[in-house]
Amino acid sequence: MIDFFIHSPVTHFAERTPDHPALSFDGASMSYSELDLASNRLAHALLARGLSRQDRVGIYMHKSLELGVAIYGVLKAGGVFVPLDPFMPATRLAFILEDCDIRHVVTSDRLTGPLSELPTDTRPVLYGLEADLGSEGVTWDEVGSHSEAPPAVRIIDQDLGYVMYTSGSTGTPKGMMHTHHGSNSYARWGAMHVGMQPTDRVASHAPLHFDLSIFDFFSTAQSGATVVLVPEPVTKFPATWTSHIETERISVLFTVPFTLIEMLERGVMERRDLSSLRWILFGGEPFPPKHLAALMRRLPAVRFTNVYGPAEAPSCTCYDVPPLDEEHEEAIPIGTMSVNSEGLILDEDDLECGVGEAGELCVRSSTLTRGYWNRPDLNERAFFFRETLGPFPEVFYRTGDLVVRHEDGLMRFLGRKDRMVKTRGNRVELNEVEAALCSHPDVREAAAYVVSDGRGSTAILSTVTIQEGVSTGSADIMRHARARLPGYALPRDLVIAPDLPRTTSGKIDRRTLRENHEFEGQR
Amino acid sequence: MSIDELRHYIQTELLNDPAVEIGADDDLLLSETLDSLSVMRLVQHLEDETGMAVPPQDVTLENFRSLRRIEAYLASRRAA
Repeated sequence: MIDFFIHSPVTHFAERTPDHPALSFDGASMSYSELDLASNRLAHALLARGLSRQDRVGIYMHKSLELGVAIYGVLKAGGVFVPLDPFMPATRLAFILEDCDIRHVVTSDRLTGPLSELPTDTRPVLYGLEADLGSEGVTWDEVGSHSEAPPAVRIIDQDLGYVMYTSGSTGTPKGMMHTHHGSNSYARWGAMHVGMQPTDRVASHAPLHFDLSIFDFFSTAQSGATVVLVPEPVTKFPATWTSHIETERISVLFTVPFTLIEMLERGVMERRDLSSLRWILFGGEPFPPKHLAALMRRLPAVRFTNVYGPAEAPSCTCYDVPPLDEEHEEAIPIGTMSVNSEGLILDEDDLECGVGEAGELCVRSSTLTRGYWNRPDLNERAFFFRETLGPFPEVFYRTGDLVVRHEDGLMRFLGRKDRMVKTRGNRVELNEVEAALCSHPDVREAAAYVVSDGRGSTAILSTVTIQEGVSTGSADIMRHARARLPGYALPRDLVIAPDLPRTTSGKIDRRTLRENHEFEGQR
Repeated sequence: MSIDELRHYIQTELLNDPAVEIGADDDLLLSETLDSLSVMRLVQHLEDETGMAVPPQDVTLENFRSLRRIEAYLASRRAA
């Protein structure tokens, strides 16, 4: 039996399949036994420097085998890991270190620059260095001198495993607290859903601060399978990415639609042997059906699952996508609630919606966050309690997402509650505008957003990208949209751009588009 | 295209910062100088400037890792 903690599978498989690779990176690999012992040593090194139960430890690293050692070392020491994006601006890094009271950071020599610029009194102890920094740093050599025995640390599975920061709507990052229990539930859901086998090789290309990485590391470990860490630069080149899948024999991939569309269009998939791939999960954004249909035709043996869930309650719904025909225009459902989650669709008065009625999805789940670190104001708004039979009320999270359940029992994602806009008195769902634009055969991607029209109302604007080699004009795309949308929902101005800006997690950056879009009649 | 021309394009058009130092052998990708969108824009620019097509199978990490690699790739395309 595997013990209760999110790090327990590593120890479990270190005993049963010690030589099987737990991690693989750039031609090198680390077995379950090696990972187990290396993470024990790091745990002892952290404890020796005064780490207490539930202290937060930053992980500020690029993809590497040591990244895996860092994650498990922190957990085994009873600590809470906090992923720090190695590409984030220094001000944001400093904010998170202070907000989460981080005094220990596992990093690498390449990244010590931004850390050394912090004021001396807030500078954390750094671990995982090659160069000797004296008392401020702990080298891998020093870590290696610590005991490889399992550290004796007392935590329970209701304690925290990690705090993950995402951008808040106001621009201030907010940290979500996740327990061992909750992340285990997410990990087990993932392993069960894809039927994870020890022979599986699961790509880890999402950055650690993105919740897909929790699936990548921990669902994989549930079955003693192998995490293939993908070097960051690889994923910028679709043709290199597909070649990496081929040579690394990746079998399970959880990613965002954008990455898959890039792969489909520029990844020269027809030149690659992708027969190792058996399951692709995607989430984070709606997958335009025409691209998904094309991808499914390209990879007929692969199963596809649409996974929905905010980072606060990962994978709370899912939908296994059946084969789609080329003409498919209807959005891909988010499906039904996962086995560890319950959902309520509530209207504006918090009453349950009937079939066909749109409302906000509110979720109760064993994967649910324990709340936002240090943010009672957000916790107050984001969660509510429902009385049940026992003495403890059930906790629900307001996702802010509008969904509708149809007669087939499947839920559809309609958009963010805050993407429901009013223009000239009419309610418009911006996702619907984007879907209508995107259904034009030559449109590759579409983004819609609103700006003030200077006359007390709002104007919908849009930027689209078109397929390579076509010369469609905006008038033609607007004609297409006019046949699908009511007049008030039509974009006032539509720009064709070579590409769309992206946020670090790969989502379309609509804020930047909105701020840069100038149009006639604006004031 | 020369290394200097490539550097100038990346500095002024992709990074909007002519002061950024980029050595001929600097890793453009590990340092996050280029992201996936700027790679696409760079490819488009190379095609426009040289009049040669850059097929998707050539847009790889190997060919775009540094200014010198890009220059060498373009030279090999011209020779082909």
